[in-house]
Amino acid sequence: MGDDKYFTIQIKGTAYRWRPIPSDDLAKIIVVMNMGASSQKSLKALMKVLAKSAGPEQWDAITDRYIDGEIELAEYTNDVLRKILKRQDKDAPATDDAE
Amino acid sequence: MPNEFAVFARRPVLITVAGTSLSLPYRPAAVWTVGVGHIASLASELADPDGRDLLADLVMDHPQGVDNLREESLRILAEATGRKWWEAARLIATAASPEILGRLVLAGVDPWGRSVGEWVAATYALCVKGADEKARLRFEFSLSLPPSGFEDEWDDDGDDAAATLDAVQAMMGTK
Repeated sequence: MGDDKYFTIQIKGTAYRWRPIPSDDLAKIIVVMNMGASSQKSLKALMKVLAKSAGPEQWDAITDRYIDGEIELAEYTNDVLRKILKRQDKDAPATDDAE
Repeated sequence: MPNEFAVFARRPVLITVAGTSLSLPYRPAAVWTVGVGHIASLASELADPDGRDLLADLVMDHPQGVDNLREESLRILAEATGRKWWEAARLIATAASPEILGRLVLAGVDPWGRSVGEWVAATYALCVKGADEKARLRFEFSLSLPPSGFEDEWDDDGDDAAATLDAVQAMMGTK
C-alpha cells in the first residue's frame, strides 16, 4: 500500500479520509479486543489507532463533535474500524458512510 | 528447569510483558479452557481486571507487547501442564468436546476444581485408556506434531534416530 492511499468513510454526514491501519497496530487492536480488558481500555486502544489513521486535524474535528454531543465515540469508532478493515481486505478505495 | 510439581500447583503465575512483571492469580482449568480460545492472549484471561487493563496498556504502548504476551501465554501453558503448549492446547480442546467432557464429569473431574495440569492429565488418561500400543503411539504422534512455525521446537528432547525409527515402525505395525 502506498503512503498516499486512503479510504473515505463518513461519520454522521461528514466525510473523513482514513489511512490504512498498519499490520502492527492491527495486531495490537485485535489482541486488546480479545483479552477481555475493560470497555474503556478497549475504546482507548481503538481511538489511539484510529487517531493515527485519521491524522491530527481530522481527529481533532471528530473529537470536537464528540465533545459537542453530536456523535457517540464507542459506536462510531467500532463502525469506522470495521469499514477500514473491510476496505483493507479488498485493497480498493471506495466511499461509504458510518450511519 | 521444569518443575514436575507445577501440574498440581495452586499458586500465582508470574509473567513479564514489555519489561513489566505481573502476578496472575491461580485459576482452575475451566478458566484456562476459555483462555485457550484466544491462546495468544491466554495470560490476560487469567489476570484480574486491573491486570488485564495493565496488559492492554503494555500491548498498546510497547512494540514488543503483542509478542511478549503471546510468548508468555504459551510459556505458562506449557509450564502449568508439563507438556508442549500445543499438546496442552489440543488436550484442552479435546476435553471440551461433548463426549470427552461428559466422561470426565461422570468420572468426577470438575474443571472448576482442578488445576489445568490435572485437567490435561485426566484428559490424556481418558484418551489412551484401553488403547493398545499402536493406537497409543498414533495418539501420541498426532498430539506431538507442532503447529506451523514451531517445527524447530519439536526436537527439544534429543535426536535419537534409532528410537524414532522404533516408534514409527511400532506405529505402522511393522515391528
